[in-house]
Amino acid sequence: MRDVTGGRQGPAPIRVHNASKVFSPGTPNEKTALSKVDFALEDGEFAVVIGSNGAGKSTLLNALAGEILLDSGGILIDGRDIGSQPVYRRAKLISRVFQDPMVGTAPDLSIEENLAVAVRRGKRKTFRLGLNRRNREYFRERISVLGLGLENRLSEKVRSLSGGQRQSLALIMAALLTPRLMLLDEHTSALDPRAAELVLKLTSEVVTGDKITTLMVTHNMQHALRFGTRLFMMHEGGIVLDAPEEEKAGLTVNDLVGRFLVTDDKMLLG
Amino acid sequence: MDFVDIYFNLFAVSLVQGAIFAFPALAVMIPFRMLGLPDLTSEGAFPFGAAIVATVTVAGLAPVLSLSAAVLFGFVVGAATALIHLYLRVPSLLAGIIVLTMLFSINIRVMGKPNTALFDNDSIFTLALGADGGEPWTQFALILALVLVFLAVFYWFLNTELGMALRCVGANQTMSRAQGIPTHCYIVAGIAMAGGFSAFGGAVMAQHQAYADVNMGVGVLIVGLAATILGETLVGRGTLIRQLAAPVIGSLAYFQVVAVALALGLKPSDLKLLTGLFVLITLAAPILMRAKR
Repeated sequence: MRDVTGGRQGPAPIRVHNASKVFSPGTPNEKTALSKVDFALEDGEFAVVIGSNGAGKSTLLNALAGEILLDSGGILIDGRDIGSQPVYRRAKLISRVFQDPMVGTAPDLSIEENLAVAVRRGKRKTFRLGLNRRNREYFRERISVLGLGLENRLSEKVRSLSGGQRQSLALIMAALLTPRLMLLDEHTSALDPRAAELVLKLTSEVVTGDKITTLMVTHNMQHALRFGTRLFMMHEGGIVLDAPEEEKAGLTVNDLVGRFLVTDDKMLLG
Repeated sequence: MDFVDIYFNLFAVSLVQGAIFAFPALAVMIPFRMLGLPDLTSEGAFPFGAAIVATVTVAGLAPVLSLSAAVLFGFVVGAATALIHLYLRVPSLLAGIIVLTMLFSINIRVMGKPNTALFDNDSIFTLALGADGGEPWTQFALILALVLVFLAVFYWFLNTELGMALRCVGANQTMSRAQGIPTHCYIVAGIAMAGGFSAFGGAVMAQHQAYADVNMGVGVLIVGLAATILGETLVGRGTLIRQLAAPVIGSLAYFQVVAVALALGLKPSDLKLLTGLFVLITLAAPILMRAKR
């Protein structure tokens, strides 16, 4: 048995319990997006979610973030059900990197202003200046790990950054104030392969370095196998495969494709 | 009289006008540029500020307190528009039109009549510049000082944690929510501030001309828009300071252009047509340029 609890007793810090969501119920467009999804994450676990289009990956992520509310079931963080909280309240515990590089950062604010907003994520805002010498120094230090030279462009507007640079910044922002759970929503899929590789490498460093409990959605099966300590495969709103680290290490892309096909066949026959 | 003579006579008075209209121009810029949410409330908040200042002044309130009262009520009006937009799901432009229409009746209720004369009452002008209310040049200096104080405070605010969050909401609402910012609160606060700016402008206007009229808001919005666009052409909007300076410089420039137009023999009643055309041409310029290619 692997031990990821660090000797801690009691329930896992992140629990999704019996989560269900049906879109447009009672209409011809009725769609079951999540059906009794149940899992728990231990501190520092890096779970990767794969699945075909419409499998429920995005719905799961949006439900965790609070963009959509579940029909039934619960989302517990450290024993507290946050399932009915709006997005901005959950932001105290949850940070997120979006798929679209335009969504995760504020283009009209400078790099350092974006970081200043992120360092107050979910905290009460005051009349103190958002930027001062001390937090500028801290931001410079944090952003320099990217190796993109952004630490010398702190006062430039984010508008002038490339997609890859923005996603890297968004990732630093999401980890700036260590969250209880970090959500990565296909955050490299809009990038060119080189930028995607860079952002993934950085993701891995940030997640393991700060021991951030993470849920990453991806459609790239190679990425899913290379990164993370646990693998979920979703299909038709449910988790059909939950592979812990050792099992995941033994999987190949062909195994995953095989599973996809099997389930797809089932779908056709059903 | 020749052109130079008339323009020379108009010069200082136009500066005063330009400085006063810097406030509603800021009130137009804030929702349009900082919140990305077009809003028309300033057209109603301007005469509302005048009506409030006139009424409380006649009731015996001191000039500075009267102006503060106008700002306070301006906040309320702006907040009302924002709440209608956010919670009753009325498009922001329509919410503004509804509020400014209702304000017309409210203004008459507030004053008890369509206009109020303040010839015998003190104002910040009589307080600071003597019983006659000062000359255009000194009046201009006084109003410009007020503008600069407001701008400095607003600039400071926009750099606080709260102000940064407000600008963040304007730039990207989805990201703001994900960063734990309750966007609705900030939108209400932002539009309320714009209402306060516009009401303050109307109140200063009423004190300056010693007269409040329910119709003095007509066209304020388009002037504010023209001033903002003109200012952005002159100083740009690349930095926060430029973005804040643009409506002020634009307003001063706009009323000089108006003075030139009047000196050339145009009637004051032609101005709204010209202003409208100016705004239209500026807004359409990118499309017209593209069509040409």
